Amino acid sequence: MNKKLSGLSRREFLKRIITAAGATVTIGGISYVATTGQEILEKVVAKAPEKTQWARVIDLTKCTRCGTCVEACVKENRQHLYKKKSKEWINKRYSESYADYYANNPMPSDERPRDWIPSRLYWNKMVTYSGIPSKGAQGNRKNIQIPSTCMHCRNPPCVAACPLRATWRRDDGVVVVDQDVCMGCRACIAACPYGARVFSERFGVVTKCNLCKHRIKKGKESDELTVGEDPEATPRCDLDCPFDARFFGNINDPNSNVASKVANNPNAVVLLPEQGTDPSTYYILGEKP
Amino acid sequence: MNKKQTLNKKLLTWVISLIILVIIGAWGAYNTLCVPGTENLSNLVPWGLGVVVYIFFVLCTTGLCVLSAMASVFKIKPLVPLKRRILYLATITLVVGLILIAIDAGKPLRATGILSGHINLASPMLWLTMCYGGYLIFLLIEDFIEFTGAFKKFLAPAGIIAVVLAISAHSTMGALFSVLDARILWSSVEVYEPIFFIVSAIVSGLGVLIFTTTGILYLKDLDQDLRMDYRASLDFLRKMLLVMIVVEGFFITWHSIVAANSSAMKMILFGDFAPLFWIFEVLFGLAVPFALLISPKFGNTKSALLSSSFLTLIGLFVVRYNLVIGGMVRPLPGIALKGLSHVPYVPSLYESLLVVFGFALVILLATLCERFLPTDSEKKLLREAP
Repeated sequence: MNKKLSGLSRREFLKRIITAAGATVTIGGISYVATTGQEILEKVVAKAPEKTQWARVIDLTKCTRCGTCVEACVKENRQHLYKKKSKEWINKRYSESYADYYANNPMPSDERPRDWIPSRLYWNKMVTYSGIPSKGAQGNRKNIQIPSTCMHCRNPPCVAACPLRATWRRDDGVVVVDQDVCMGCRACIAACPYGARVFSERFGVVTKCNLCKHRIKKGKESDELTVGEDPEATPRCDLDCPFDARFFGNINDPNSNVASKVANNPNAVVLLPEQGTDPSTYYILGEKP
Repeated sequence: MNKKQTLNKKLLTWVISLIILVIIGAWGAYNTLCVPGTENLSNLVPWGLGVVVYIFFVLCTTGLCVLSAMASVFKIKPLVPLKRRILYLATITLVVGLILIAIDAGKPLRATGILSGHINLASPMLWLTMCYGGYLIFLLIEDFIEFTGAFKKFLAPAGIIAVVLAISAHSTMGALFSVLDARILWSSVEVYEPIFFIVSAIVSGLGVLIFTTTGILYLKDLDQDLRMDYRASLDFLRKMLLVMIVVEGFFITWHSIVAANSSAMKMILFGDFAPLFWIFEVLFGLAVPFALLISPKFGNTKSALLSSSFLTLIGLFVVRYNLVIGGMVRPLPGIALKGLSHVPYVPSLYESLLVVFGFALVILLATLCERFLPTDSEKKLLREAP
């Protein structure tokens, strides 16, 4: 059965049934299917050129898959403190708020995070994707390992799935979770095609990459700092990359490093464009160094 | 007198063993709720065995609610003697189902955020939570009216609202799965799940009711008139179950054919899930019950009714398992697994204990209701029917 022809109208039909009873929120359907980053960029910037939209570019021709970004994220976001099966975990779900814990526990620098929780529960992961073209939209399709995290989609299926409005997309493009509202039903994890969201077993809520929003905030509040350029105002994984393979900035600003990377490179793509999620994370395809 | 005493002794042993099982299950439930790292879940398989048991029980309650509406609202004669039994079974399965999903959620009490207006109207899970909440309220109202005899004129309206909410809740649960485009087994035929959920709910409602009523015929000391009434009810239920098994079989067949090209369905039909599908879902859940029930003479014997309804329920449990776990363990569209056709998922000990907890609690509560509630005084009720 051709899903494109018959499935789409059914999906629309289903969604209308669900939202019929007074729903005013509309689920963004699949607006377009693009294969290259340039095509996406043209449409995105045309929509609202003046709005800041944070985006990330990962250059796979420079990335050696060393895992420094994974480790950096684990440290920065205290994920190594979710130690598995220790006594201190027990019964903490109700006595401790995620936000308090996060605020009261400064980042220890001397611990080796990989010994702690299973890596599948990190926000940043090394994931093997199948059928990725080696170059641009053409080229041989093969399985490649890439650093993967939340894509901060413009049409995020996880946000539509959450019953409690505990997760949403901010105006600047960051998809965030309010851990004080989330009830841990994990519908958003089931909805995410990238496997980006993880369930924090310690706190009983869903967590995910928030583009180091505390660092973005710092950059926006200070006149001297530029987000994506100054170290204090750049997400930690992008900052720590030893091979200069990760870039972060405002995709709607044509002068930003991310916009120029995507605009000038025909090999810049997004993952799984057919899912209609319209991600803000771009990958530059090519041979591994 | 002596016989009664022996019966009571047996009943006591039965109840105590069930309580022990509930306590063991509750230990597993405590662990899954409060001790992190006790569930084998991940970012790829976020829903496990806990969700399967939950769906199984809410499936039963929806089916029972439809049967209850047939008895109390539409006054279908053969079902009237059973209407109190249907009601208490529907209530028990719903309450246990809701307890199970609360245990499965990370912070279940936060669901009350819905009451303070913290809602996302686009989420199917919101609608099903609200519908099940409303359904529970109207089901309890029905219970109150039926067992106390007060406010009788409100029974039919409450029954109608309850069945509308139950069917809405259950079809929304089907939609919850089919709108998840990332999971290919569910989104491959998108209108399938909501309809199939309702069909299979009615089958499981019939399975539970036939199993319980036949069990009552075996165990309880009933007078001859009541036995005749129950026999007539069971004959009706047998025919209805036959029809619904055929409908369910049709649904499973067309879904398998339409989605046969998808890798997810291939995994179910010919891959690692094939034994579960062909042996439990098709053979035990559909073929054997159909063969047992098709002959009016043999199909109406107690052993045939008991075994076929039991097998139907086993089959339906596996249908839920294949649906939830089969849909989950398929890798996400882009993610490749080294040499594996699907993400390995084996329920942990604690997750398995959730199954023990759910079934032991339902059977325990049903035993207590059957013992202490006036479920068999329906002879009068039958005469009230037109």
